[in-house]
Amino acid sequence: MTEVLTSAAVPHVVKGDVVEGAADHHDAGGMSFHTPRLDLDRLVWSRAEPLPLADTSVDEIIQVLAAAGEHVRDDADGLLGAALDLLCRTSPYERRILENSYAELWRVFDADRMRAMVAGELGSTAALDGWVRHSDGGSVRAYPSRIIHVLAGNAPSVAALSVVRGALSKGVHLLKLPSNDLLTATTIVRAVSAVAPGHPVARSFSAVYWRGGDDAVEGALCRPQYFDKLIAWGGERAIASAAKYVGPGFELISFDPKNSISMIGEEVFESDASLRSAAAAAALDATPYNQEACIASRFQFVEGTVEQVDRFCAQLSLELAAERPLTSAVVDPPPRDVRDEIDALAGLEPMYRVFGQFDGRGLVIRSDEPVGFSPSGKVVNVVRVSSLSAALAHVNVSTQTVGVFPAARKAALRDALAAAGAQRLVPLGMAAGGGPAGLPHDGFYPLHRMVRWISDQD
Amino acid sequence: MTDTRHHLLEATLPGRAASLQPEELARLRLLAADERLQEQRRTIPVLDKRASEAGLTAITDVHDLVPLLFAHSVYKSYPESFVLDGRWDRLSVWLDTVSTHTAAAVDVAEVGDVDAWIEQLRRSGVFVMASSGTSGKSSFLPLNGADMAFLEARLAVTDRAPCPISFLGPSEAPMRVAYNFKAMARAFGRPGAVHSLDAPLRLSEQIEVAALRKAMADGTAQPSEVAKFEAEATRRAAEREAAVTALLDAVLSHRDEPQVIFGGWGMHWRLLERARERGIGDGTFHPGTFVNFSGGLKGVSVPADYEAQVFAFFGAVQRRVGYGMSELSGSFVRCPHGVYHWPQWIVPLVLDEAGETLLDAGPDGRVRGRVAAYDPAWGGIWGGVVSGDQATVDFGGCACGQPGPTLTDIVRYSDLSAAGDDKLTCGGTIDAYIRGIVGS
Repeated sequence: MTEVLTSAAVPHVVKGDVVEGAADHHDAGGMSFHTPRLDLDRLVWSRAEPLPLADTSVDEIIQVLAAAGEHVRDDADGLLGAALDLLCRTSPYERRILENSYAELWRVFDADRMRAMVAGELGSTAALDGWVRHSDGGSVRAYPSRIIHVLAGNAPSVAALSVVRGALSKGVHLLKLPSNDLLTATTIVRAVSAVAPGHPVARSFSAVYWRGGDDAVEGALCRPQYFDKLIAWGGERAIASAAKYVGPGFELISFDPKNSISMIGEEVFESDASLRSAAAAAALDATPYNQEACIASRFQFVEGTVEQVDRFCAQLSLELAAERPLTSAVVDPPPRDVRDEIDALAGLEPMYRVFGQFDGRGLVIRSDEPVGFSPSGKVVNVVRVSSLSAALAHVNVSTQTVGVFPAARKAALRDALAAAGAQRLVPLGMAAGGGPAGLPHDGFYPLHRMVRWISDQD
Repeated sequence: MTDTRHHLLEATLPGRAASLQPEELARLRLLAADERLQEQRRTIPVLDKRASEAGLTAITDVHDLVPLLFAHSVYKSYPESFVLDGRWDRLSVWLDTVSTHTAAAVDVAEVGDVDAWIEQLRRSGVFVMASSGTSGKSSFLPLNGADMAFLEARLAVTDRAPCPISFLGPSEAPMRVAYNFKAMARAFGRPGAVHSLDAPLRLSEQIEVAALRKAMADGTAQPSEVAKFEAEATRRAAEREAAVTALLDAVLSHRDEPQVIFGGWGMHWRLLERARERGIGDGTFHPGTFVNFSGGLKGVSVPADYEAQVFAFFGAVQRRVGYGMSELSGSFVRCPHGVYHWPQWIVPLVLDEAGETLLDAGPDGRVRGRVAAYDPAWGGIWGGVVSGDQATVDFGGCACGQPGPTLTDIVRYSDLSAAGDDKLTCGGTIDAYIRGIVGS
């Protein structure tokens, strides 16, 4: 891009109030932008006062959030549109994908889903709303916490989930904006202020930018005197950087970088129809955000003979080409060193076989053990196995989602998968489904971790 | 050797008179490239595939070379599991896809590690030049006997009287620099005064790191293995340090007579530091000394003016500063005007950053872009290379009188790319879960 783009204005929100200004200039995330100067003193909440949401009922919070969700969906003030426009400047995804992901954002704020989230993760709203009698005596309260969130910018749902979970757990939240998505979080927080100005939910959120790793800011704020927890999303460097501040009274909750796989049983070859539908489901699982999302399946373990597995690969490589709501029809080719390795593998037939070209429509590599690189950009490694249990050797603690076909085989595999480190089983094709609210995320219950559990003994 | 290549090399090798007109030189180079394409596409599958995909049946224009250029990654495109699991037979099959050899015919049944594989191949006339990727994969570039003879013939051209000669690196290593050193030591090294790091470079040590990381990823590594590995790596590092100090002292001991010293910039800096430690000042080397500077800093941390300090340290000696890459048979030597001259038998190419489009020189004869080249000298491998470096290339002449083109301001593209520290995504691999292992 050779056009000179003007520096973008990125507003902050501090405890529900919009703060605009251009005092600080930044070059990050592929563009220039300016923000108001940070006033660190305003970014902390004093322990001397109860937190704004401490005495607000979960029901009321849900009502406010649901209204904010409607506001975001309608986008009457055009803020979400502006966020989208800014994102389009630097996002690796085409506008259509970004529009689709924003179009679904309001679902995170669906009242029934939020109630199911609380019920699933905490049993009920009781401990959030007050003191609950313990069966053997004494009482327990899920008391709100003060949390810094280092957001990831690759999907707008990160900001939406952070706000929803943050409000439901009634804490106070300092959201650090990622340089690759500078407006989504502020837009959501501003929506709350728009539907409920001055409400405790609005007053519980700040959203500001500082350069990740800036010791002057992080060293000052990441202290138990000001915050109890830091939630870090993805990226080894972000998490290592956050981990520096961990100590007594300051805890790290991390959504670690993950990868995902599929396991496909020989039942897939029982008919042409099942082969086709499984290949379509496998392609659906492999492609969210052009295969960059943690839920995207990269390695697919298939039971069968070489001839059978190759038929699956051929069908999969056709299915990968489809344009989908969160996938481009044509993506960038893999980096040169990966292309060279794939070329080398193609030259080693029949040990390996490559289906498709480097035309960005999708490519499948069939092998008898996983390839050494992490496939991305609509590249899938299909690993032929004698049985799905042989695939367990390749599951580890970085494995998040395992899509299984047929779904009935999940029951026999799930304990072994859990032992190997995997966190989430789904039927093949459902990796991006979201699923019911209230299930754990990355192996834990976020709401549970976001509160402090206080006891009152008789 | 074909007549074309013979004619080209005779006219262009260092020490020959530059007797070709520019148009004739360009014509010969392209003819040599086309001859090689016809010969080698029959035996280098990756080359044949690239040529077929590009619809190329002949090279008649420099643009034809662009889709055929190999990045360094081609020579490390093998599945890492072949090395980690000791599948030497499969590694040989892979080697054949990127070269003209039939390494697959060499018996590797008794081969126990990668160093033995390289040695077994060497005995059969496959001269594998390896780079030791510190935390990544090693690359393997297999030259043939004729290639080795071509290189040695040029190195042995000397009328230097026997003198001390030192290489600031391991002489027992499957690397061009080591072979060069040994050839020169044979030609004019004074017995008893030939110095280098004696311990053979074992690539299998690098692979042990990778194998341990894989075992940790798989969950099969025991804590005692990690502890043992870390202790062993620490011990080896200490041994290496002692050997380096002894080597540097040996070089310093010959300061008052003419000697020849080869090394990378990082090691020359360490020589300077050792001298200062011992109270040895600048300018104490005999003026008949010849010092060759090549290669990078290799992780040694140096001040911004390290070059000036190193030159001052050596004082008034003969210096040769070179730039090169293992895929080319000639290096780019820096002239008194401070620019690097392109070896004349090698086709100069400057590409865009993506490495897909040939860039033309501007009206001033200069262009800045990705350095690439075609070298017709090789028989074992295809001579087309696209590098990871960005440089300014001047197609005009040079005031020093030697022919151009010339290169300046060379930087690695990998050093240029932004860190992107704020951009976070949720996708990742098990690598993030393995805390560093000492020695890796």
